[in-house]
Amino acid sequence: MNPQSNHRHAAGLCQARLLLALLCGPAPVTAQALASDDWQFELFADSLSYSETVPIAAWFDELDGPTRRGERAFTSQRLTSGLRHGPWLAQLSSRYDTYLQFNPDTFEAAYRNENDLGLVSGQQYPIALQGEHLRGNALSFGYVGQWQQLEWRLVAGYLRANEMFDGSMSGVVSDDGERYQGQAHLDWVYSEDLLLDRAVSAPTGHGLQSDLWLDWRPATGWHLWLHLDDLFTQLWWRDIAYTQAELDPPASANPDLFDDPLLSGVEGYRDYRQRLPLKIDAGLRAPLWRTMSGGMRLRVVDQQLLPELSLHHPLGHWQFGLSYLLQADAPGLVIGHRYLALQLASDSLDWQQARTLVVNLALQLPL
Amino acid sequence: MKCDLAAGCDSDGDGTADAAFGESVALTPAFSLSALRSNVAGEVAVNVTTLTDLATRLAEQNPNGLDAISIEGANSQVANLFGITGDLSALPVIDLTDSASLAAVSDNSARRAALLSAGLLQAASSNGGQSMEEALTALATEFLANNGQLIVNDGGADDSVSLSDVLSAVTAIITAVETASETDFGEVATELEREAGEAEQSAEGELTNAQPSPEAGSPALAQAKAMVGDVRTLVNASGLGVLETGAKAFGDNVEMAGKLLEPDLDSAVGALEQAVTAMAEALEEHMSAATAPTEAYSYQASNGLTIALTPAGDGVALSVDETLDGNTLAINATFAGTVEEDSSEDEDSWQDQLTVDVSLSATGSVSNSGVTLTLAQGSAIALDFTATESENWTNSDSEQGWNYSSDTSGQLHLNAASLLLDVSIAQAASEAVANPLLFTGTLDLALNGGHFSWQESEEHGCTNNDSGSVCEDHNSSTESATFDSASLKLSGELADSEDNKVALSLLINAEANGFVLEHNYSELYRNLWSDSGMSSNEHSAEDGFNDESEEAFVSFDFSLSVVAALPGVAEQTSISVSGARTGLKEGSLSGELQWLGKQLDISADAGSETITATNQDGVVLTLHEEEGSNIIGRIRKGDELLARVERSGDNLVLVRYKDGSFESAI
Repeated sequence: MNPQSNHRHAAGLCQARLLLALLCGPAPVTAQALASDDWQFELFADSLSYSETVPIAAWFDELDGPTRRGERAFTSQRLTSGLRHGPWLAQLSSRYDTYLQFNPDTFEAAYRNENDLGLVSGQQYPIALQGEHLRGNALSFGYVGQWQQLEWRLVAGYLRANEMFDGSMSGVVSDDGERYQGQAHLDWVYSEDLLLDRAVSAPTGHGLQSDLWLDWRPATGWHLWLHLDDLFTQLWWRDIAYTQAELDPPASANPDLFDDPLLSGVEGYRDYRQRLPLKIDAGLRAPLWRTMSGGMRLRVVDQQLLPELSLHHPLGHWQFGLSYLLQADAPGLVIGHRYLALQLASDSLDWQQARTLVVNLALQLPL
Repeated sequence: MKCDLAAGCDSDGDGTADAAFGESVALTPAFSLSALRSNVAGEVAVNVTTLTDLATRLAEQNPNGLDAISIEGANSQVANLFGITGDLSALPVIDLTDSASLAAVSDNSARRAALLSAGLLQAASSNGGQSMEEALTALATEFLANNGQLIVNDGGADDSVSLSDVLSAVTAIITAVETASETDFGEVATELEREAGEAEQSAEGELTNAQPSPEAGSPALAQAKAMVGDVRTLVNASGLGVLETGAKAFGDNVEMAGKLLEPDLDSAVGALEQAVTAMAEALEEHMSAATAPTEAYSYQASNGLTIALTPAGDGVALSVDETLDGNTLAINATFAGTVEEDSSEDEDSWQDQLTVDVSLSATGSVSNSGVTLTLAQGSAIALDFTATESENWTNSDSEQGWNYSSDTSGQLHLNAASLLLDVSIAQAASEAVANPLLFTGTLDLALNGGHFSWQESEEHGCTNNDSGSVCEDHNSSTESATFDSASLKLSGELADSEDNKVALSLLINAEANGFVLEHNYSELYRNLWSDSGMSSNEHSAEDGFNDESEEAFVSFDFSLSVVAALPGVAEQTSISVSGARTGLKEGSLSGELQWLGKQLDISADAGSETITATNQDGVVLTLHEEEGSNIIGRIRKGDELLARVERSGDNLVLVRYKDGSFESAI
């Protein structure tokens, strides 16, 4: 057999195995212990969006939507594809993260401002806002180790980003009926000035991204895991735009003489280190009754706890399950296969009204 | 040196001009001018004028010696004194005798500086008996003795140079320059003329109150930031709260005193009306007399007042000196001139020609226990015109119907018309009026070379036929009016006894430039009559005015100022607005605010959608929406870009400075 023919044969075998794996896999996807010369294709799509105030879609549409009192909104999305050869991994990933923490008055002030409602005259709005955002790509390498029933996976790599913000605002604002007043401090770095429309040069950040996964399967049907994403993820930005601003009340002795600006500050460029928050995904999956199994899961994202309960039942080579995110009142659907795991969860069937959206896809295909 | 003084240059002080305007003049070796500039790096051009010379002498007198603060402070004080924005020694020097040099610099501040520089020298030289160097030294000595101020109005004293003297000299120089070349100083000239009028009417002996800019000598960026603060205060309506407070206090006093004044003033004005009516009646009787009296006599008017008439040549002097309803009347008027009328009439036409060349001047007062109304010397009205009018008509009546038509036409050629009123109203102090009001005001209106014409036609008639009759009424008229030039000066001041005052001054100059305003009107009524009455009627009408054109349009320039000295405001505040219409769709508008010791010139060019504001430090803010950008303005000093003004979101305007700092506009 000539080499070219052998290559075609191998490619055809791979395609056939891929097809078989998708259709006939016998068990839910789990970490696979590979022989040292086996290859595996991996694809992970993890998307978790959560908002306590307006629906997630409204954050991209000037906060135009029904509101609830809340203090947090975030979205964390990562798409990773990679190849595993034995214990070694190589991955390419794209990620988009935004984390916002605020007090209810801050959100109300922002909501009223975005919707041209104006602040309630005479009302004091204490302001507290922290926000962080990143969009970037990473090239990572990892190692999957095995010790008895415990598998561990450590992945680390180079992260490059060109979109970010990181900063905080605090103080108090009010509207005396004629103009905004108050005293507040703003300090933030950014790739695009969303607050004051400053024209800035495009920055690039360079850094590290690392994840550590621990999966323990002490017995058949039992699975305990602890996944620490962004265990140590930092970016170094050189000459990134920043703004430090003060909102000041009139300082003149005569309150009618507004000699002083309402807002003033400094803009410039500086070096900055950005650190992304650790995300924790911990859980337990155990047999319950006959073939049915149950799970408990806890996600921790930007200090927000998102507990989840789930029930699973096999159906042929597939596993089907129902999940429920307690904090978000978000039911979900879980589908599992030997090489595939998919979870969809939302608190609303209308995605535009959803305040919680979870999409997790894991695909691990031997080649 | 070219002589740019309207009265010519008497370089040696022998009383005879050694050079006329535009001629070269040989200066004495002692004649010198100087200028000072600080923080000079590299090669810079320093322009030397009479203004910079005064500033140099002021800086040299500073007890702290010469440094950036004393130099720029002196430059700034002299600039503020004469309402000039920008760095005195950096302003381009204009040769007022060279039309090319004038045309090359359109910057109003530079033109103003050039005129004032020449005006200073002319005012100093006009005191006589001094060489130009001696005159300049005498001017500087007086200027320094007054701590860098000038007397606003010295009442014509020969031994001093007042601001009024300088501005009057400037007015004469403007006339000389505009006569010698085709230069039109436009709103700069109008502004200076208005200021000259204001200075002339100011109380004698008062000093100017020019101060250096608080930021004189500061880095350009600090000056830009200070300017933004000033503009913020200006833009923010309630930022003038101090003024509002002062204005309210003054307004309350005016309102209260006005209420007390009203019945007394009504009574005085009523008495004045009676006097004017009586004088008019007496004058009419005198003019219409078959044989005009030549000796003094009295006339008893129908309202009971006695008018004393004293004929003199073609005129007559009239006076009334009586008490009427508690008012003491003391009015003198002089009528002079000729009124000639020639008319003729026949069966179907008449003609009338009227030639009038008269003047009526009046002076005097009306007073009662609460108020004295004074008509000052110089109040007069003068008319010089010729008017002709004629009408002809036709009339016919027959079984077929009837017809009447007439044509009327006339024209009035006005050589000149003028009205000058100089009035003061003084409220008397009393127990009820502790802070009495004084109003002084003048109105000076002049019209030269007016031409008015009118033509009216009307035709009425009915034509009978078998079914009834058709009647038509047709009226048409055409009127036209034009003038060569017109001017309006209006000034007034309302003050109380505590030296709080508000003064207003307006000057408008206009020229028709060949434009003739025409009004055409025509209408037609057409009625059909039958035996049972009117069966139908139609009506049509056309009415309209003609438009100006690129070649024929009314050009004008104006200057308006309001000056306030109010309780709680340490210094006088003045707002002036000047503008000019220089073409059918061309013009400019500028404003100047002098307030709390600061100065801001704002100008806008019609059509350019650009507003420019220049402050006392020469910092220039240009507001202009830049397409495809959120930049709406830039702040510069000279060629240095100091800040950008940017729109941020819908409601926020930020000023971003070159050092990275920023601030909201309000």
